[in-house]
Amino acid sequence: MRLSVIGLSLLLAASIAPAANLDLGPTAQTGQPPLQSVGPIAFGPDGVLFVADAESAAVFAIETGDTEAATSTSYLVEGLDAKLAAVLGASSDSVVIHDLAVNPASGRAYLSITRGAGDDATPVLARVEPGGEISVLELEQVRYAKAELPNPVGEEAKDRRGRPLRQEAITDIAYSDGKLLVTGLSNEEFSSNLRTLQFPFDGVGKGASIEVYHGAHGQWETHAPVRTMTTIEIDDQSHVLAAYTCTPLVTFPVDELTDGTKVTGSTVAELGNRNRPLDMFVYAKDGKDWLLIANSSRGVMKVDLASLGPQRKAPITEPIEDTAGLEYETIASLTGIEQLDRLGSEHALVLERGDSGVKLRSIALP
Amino acid sequence: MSRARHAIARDRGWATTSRVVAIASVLAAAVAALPAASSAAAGSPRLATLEPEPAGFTLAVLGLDRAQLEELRASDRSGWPQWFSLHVSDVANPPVAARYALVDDRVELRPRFPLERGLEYVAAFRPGVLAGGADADGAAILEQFELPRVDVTPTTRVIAIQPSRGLVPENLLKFYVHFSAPMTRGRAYRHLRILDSRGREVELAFLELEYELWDPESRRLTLLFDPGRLKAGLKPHREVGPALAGGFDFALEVDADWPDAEGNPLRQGLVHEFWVGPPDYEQPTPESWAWSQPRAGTREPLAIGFGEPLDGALLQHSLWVVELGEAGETERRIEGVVELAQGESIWRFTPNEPWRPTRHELRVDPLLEDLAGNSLARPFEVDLAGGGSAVTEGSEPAPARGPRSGAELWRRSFVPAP
Repeated sequence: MRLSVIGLSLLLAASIAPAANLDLGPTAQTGQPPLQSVGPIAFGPDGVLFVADAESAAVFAIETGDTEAATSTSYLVEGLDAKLAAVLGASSDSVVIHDLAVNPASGRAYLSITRGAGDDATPVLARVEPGGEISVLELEQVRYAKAELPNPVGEEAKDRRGRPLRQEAITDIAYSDGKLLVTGLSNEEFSSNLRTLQFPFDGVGKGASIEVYHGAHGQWETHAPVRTMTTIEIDDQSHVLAAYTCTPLVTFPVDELTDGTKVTGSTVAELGNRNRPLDMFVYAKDGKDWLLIANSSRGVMKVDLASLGPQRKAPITEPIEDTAGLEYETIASLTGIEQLDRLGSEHALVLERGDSGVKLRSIALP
Repeated sequence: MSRARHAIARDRGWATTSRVVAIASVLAAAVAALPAASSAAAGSPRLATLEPEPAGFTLAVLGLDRAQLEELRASDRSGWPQWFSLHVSDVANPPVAARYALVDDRVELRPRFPLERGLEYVAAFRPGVLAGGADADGAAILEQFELPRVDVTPTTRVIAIQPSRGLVPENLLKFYVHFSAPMTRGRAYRHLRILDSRGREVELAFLELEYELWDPESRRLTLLFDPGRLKAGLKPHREVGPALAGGFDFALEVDADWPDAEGNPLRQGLVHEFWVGPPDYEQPTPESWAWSQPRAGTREPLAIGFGEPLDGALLQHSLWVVELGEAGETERRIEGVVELAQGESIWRFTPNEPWRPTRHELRVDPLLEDLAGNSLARPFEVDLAGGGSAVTEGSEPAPARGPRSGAELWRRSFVPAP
């Protein structure tokens, strides 16, 4: 895949102002980030957009310059998939939306998208304004830094263009307090892992690779892949909160995630069988911390995180019948939610798929 | 041949008159107009197609007069799509992301991304808006066109499915589906499924990933069975059971209407039948592999029989041969061709040059896995209570056998016989 480059003087797209002296680390440069693909995205401080590029086995930090608050926090964009296809000059079938992230510095929504397929597949980053206006991010002259993921594989078969056939799909990324967490899954050997990258990226640009297990289902050590994750503070310590298929919620202390270690997590909730968690974030309301999690077949749940404090219960280690651990309620008004992110302190932005296409809308935090 | 409809209409009531114009004639007219344009009489700005190919597609407004050009040079270009734009299907759609340039006496519009064949586009030019900006309801010139599909004859097909052998373990971890040409990504799970012996779809069989596991060329898809359903000790395994039940027949079905990278369907659909045997909790044991050693001076293959099928993708690059120097301190990797036989249970390596009668070493990546994800380095499932040992059938802990170090290559030396 490649980014389309057309050297004309004017572009009607979101222009990115390389402005502030943001610290992106010693590998920072100005130019066009060589993105070969786009997958999960997340925001860091000061409008820095992290973009996972599985084809390059790398994460890019791109300075968006988008730090002025949007005039509105109210989103209602009907037919987002069709509008996006129209802006990209393509049919809806040719456009795949991978991820949604809200820039906390401005309250604007960003999407990672692939347009087209095969050798013509083009990675695209787009911004959606509260009014529904869609613009393609102009990346020809941006400040960015690239962190390559450590390659665990020595001997490699290559395709015709010399790219390794054994690759890792990056399944999610999350940023917290100077650390970027990256989960991945290989297209060949079965390896599920979690990496931490320091941000600003250091000169080497390599992160620590960790094997994560959770042993909560009876006595069996499992190596299942993280489906979606976020970070939370427990006892003033940063933790990863990760969700797996059939929906165990597991925590790992971020400080224990160091290179070459094997970390076993604590299962703090079981949210139900026959289900895939899709996306989640943590927020505060009424003096308590909550998790909002979207699921493939169990709707959107609001999970009470208050009991993760000092008086928390022992983690789940025995087989359970249906659900267990943290208490939650299912939000009946939210159906078909595939992506969600926090929008300011009082709202969430949700990507909702229904019979009439994809809708992007803001909701009050439940 | 592409077709174009050229319409002059009022905004909000588009189709008043229309005539059909071949896009090539628009192009010819535009090119013919170019030399004269700089000195041409102004006052008749018009739309033209400068480049009709999808990749470099370029529209232009020609015939602008000197005053208009001056005004444009000084104007804020972010407003230009209001008088000159390209849309998918209908002008009511948001304009296609495009780059604009003022070149000599014309304004060029190049879409940010190549146009898509088979899709209808509308180019819109509103001279009234250009003239003063106030006349948004003024006459609009619309060009409707479609780039013809090049080839709609389906040619892409499934060329292999691995494991290729019909018998698989109940805890099979993955299928690889190989295609003859690049495919679209992002819609695999809509176009394939596992059917049971009665033809019913097996629910949630695969680990459905938002970012599908393709090779870089989009020709090989990795389908992972959901590990949550495979682990013997996991709740889904007990409540739902593994996706594949031992003793029964299943089929992997691939739809013919799965679009390849060109947007064309597959030449045909496919039903790959297989039957399911007992689960496999054993790690591959290289010590028990069968060898057929080549003779020096020949290009006879080095063949290794595993006694069971192993992962077809990993086998392509998880085994390799080096030639060791006299004292063993130098080494050289032997180049050659790898073939797999008998349902990926035999690895056969034919060197490009004849074997030399010196010491060689076969090296095996410890990440090499069998069909159930048990690698040389570790079993797929580990019983914490049983001290890290692998499980055996019936979930009774097996005799303790510690996992190998993850980084350690398995090695075996041999000397091709003279």
